[in-house]
Amino acid sequence: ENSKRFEDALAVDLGRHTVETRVSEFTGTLGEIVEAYHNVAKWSKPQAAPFDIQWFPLRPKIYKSPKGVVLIIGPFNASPRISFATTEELTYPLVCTIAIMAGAIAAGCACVIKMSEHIPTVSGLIAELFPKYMDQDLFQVINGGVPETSKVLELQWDHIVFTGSTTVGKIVASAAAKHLTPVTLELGGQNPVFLDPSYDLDVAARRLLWGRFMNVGQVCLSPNHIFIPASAQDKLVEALSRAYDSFYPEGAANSDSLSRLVSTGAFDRLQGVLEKTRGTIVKGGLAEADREGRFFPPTIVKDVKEGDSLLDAELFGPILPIVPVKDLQEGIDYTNARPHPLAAYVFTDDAKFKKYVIDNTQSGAIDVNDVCVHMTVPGLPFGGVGTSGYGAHTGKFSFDTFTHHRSSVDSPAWVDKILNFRFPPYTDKGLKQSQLIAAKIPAPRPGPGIVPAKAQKSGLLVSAQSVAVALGVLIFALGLRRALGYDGWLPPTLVALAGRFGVSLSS
Amino acid sequence: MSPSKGTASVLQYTPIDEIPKIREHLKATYNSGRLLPLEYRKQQLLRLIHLVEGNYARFEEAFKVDLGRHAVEVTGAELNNTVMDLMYLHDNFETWAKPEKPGFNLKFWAFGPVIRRVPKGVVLVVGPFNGGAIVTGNACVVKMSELTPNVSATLTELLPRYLDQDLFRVVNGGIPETTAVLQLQWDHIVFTGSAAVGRIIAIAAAKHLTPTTLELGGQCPVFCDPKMDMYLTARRLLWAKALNAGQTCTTVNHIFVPYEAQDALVEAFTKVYKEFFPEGPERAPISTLVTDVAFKRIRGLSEKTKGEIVCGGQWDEGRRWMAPTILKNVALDDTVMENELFGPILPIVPVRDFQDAIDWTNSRSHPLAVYAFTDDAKFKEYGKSNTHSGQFVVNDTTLQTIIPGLPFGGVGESGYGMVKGRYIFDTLSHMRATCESPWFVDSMVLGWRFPPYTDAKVKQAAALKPRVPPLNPSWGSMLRSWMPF
Repeated sequence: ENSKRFEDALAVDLGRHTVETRVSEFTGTLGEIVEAYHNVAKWSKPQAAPFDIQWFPLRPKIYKSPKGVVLIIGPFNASPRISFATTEELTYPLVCTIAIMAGAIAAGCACVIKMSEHIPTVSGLIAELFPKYMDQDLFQVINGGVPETSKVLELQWDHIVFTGSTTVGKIVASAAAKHLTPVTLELGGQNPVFLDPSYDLDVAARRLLWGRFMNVGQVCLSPNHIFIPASAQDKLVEALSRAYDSFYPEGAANSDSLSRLVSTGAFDRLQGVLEKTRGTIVKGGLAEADREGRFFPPTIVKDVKEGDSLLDAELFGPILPIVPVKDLQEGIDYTNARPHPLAAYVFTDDAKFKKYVIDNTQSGAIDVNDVCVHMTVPGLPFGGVGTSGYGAHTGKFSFDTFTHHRSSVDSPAWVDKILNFRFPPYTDKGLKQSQLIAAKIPAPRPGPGIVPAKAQKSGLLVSAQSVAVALGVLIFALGLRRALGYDGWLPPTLVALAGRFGVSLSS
Repeated sequence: MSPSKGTASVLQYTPIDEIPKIREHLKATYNSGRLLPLEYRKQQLLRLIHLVEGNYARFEEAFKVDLGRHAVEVTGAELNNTVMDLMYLHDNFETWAKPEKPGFNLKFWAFGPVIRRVPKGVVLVVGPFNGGAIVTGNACVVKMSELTPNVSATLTELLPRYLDQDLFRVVNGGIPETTAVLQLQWDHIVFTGSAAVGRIIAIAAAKHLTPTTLELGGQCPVFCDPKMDMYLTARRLLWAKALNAGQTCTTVNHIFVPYEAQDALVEAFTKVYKEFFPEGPERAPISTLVTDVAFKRIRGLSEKTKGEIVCGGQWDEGRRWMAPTILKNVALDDTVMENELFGPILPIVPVRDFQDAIDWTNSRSHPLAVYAFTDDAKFKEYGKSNTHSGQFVVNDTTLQTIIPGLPFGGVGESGYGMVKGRYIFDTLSHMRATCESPWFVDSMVLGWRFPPYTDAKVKQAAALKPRVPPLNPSWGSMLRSWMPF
């Protein structure tokens, strides 16, 4: 109902166009909430453990219980130096808090959301709307800066979800550790693109620029830099230029399709790294930049080498460096030598190369022939690995994040007749009986320390099951023969064979 | 803490400057991709199973020296279960490791979404060895406890003979060695132990943004329905307490029973006690306490308690042994109720009604398990809905940890994360989302995503908005909700 107000608020705080807001915020957020709404009954149902012939009488079940009171938090500036709070929540406030809250509500948790002070209009709007719609005894919004956030982190919560930078992620994790609170961290990284030049460069160029300049690059999933074999760099630059011009036909400064940076601090940081680059700017640049209006022109830089200022840290801004390499293996090695990114992107039509990149890199997620879209595909977990974070959310993954899986067992009295050996006094007979519920172990391949041996004799109960199954199959097969019209229960060949040995089988 | 007396030469501590080198080496092997093929993981896991299964006698001997534990407890309660767990992993992990396709979705099927479960890297396990690391394709360092030096030494000696030393190693030592290990970066840490040490681990992990799984403890209460068969109850409860002298995270901590039923329960315990220990507890193979400090703590509690001893009470300082001791008429504020006992004392706490017991339980930190002994379905539901705990078990104890298919994990101060079977597989895997955009997606469906944004594109973007159920449903809206799109 209040979507227009949100759109306006985001326009004020971030200069974001309605299309981007609708796609990235509303669709995502509403999609999450609606999905949770339709599935809460299904997800909350107690789950029976998979059937096990030895243990089923104990009725093993898993109950889904809520963890308690959870905290969903966006980033904040822990110190003035971290003025470029490189975070998703600043720029995607709804997706990073309310969408996640849907999972918490579905799981049955009470929830506190800490909104960011850097998007005052949006945070103010949420604080105003919450009491009108949500049960105030269960769901609250907290606003504030560093002192308020520090206070929040001193308290005990039953789960904390944090979206933001690595630096602040460590602060949140350390605060949670004191209370033994489980945490989900959605952090960032330098998401690489591996571009195989045999892929259609025009299609790639449009998708790459869309991903890079959406919200002027202030997206945790935004492609950070592109690896391409040096021989194909010029072709790529041409394709990118064509796409660039088609996006901003009247020039970037006059386009109303570009958002603004979240703060002047972000502007200063991006200006700094761009001024220090030893690459060549092919599009954009600082000429039309406007610090007061927080407008940073979308910029493409080529011939960026390892060690360049643009590759020092996650850019989180509208600069797209192209890194020419001898071959893409160089790009893969470079990526693997550094912290795991939140996403990796590979553009190729070659199935073998696609598999190679997937198998030889580590990242939160990996998209083929596109960027960023995996976040909107339902059923896919969204989460990082290594310093890009841990835990996962969206959909059922959010529900599971806020749920404690409570195992349960209901042991009938007669079970002790079988498990009697567990009670003292311990006897050798009891020891033998305890082997009955032991597993059947295959023999390993011989090797150092292992002598080739027969497979271990199985416990009685387990082999009874296999015998029963074998008998069942045999009887079924024979019955099937009969039903299909063959005379008699037994195959004539078998009867004849038995007859040769003097055994009469005919009925 | 120095090694226990008489065993200084048994367990060799890992030199501290070796520890980072071990981690580097394992990381390098892991990065070479040696553990990616499922076949290799299966082979290594099978060798691990044979390590345990082929050396029962040695482990039994080691447990006997460290803890005075009888072979039935070692083999029946520990080793068999370990092998069962490992076999469950062995038989099933290939299915779990397959890439998973999320359910069909009309709008997004073209993207071919897949979830791959991939390993995280080098995992640190502090506590018992975990087969989950192998099947998920992670290299693994195990830091074994120095408090059971013979068991740790046995495993340290056997591991290199069975498992790939470039991927799986044991580190031994006390506090300095453990501190050195925790300063390094790991890709996941699984810790089993006390809440106090759990905090230390979590704080160390936070510095490296390492995900952790903590299996801690708690004061696991028993709610005993007076209408329950007291003999059965006493048997199963005393069994749980006698097992390893009560040094199990899922053992029963204390029993709540209404005043009027306490005598019946005490009578049942007395009978069962004689059955379990016909020649008296001193002659029975009851485990010893793991350290002198633990022994002194339990001795102290048994002296300071205001409860009355019903059975047991004997002790032998020389071998750190105390008989399973049942106390009755223990008050809620008694000294034995202050912390997790983790020892062979079993207090019976008579209550006016169960609400008092539940309120007391809820006012403390969440235990690892809540046990209810009752045949009354309403009482079971009452116990379950009004408490919060890692597990909820009816009419038995401890068995929930060996049933395959059940996750084992705590909540609140009893820890977080889940281990065993499928759950440890998911814990130690990273779920990596993948999707692939076909070329036609831009011309047919997502063309509006590219600037310049026009009013027409705004409309197209709006088409992706999901249908929102109204706040006040009407017949019309309910009918509409049946439409697939």
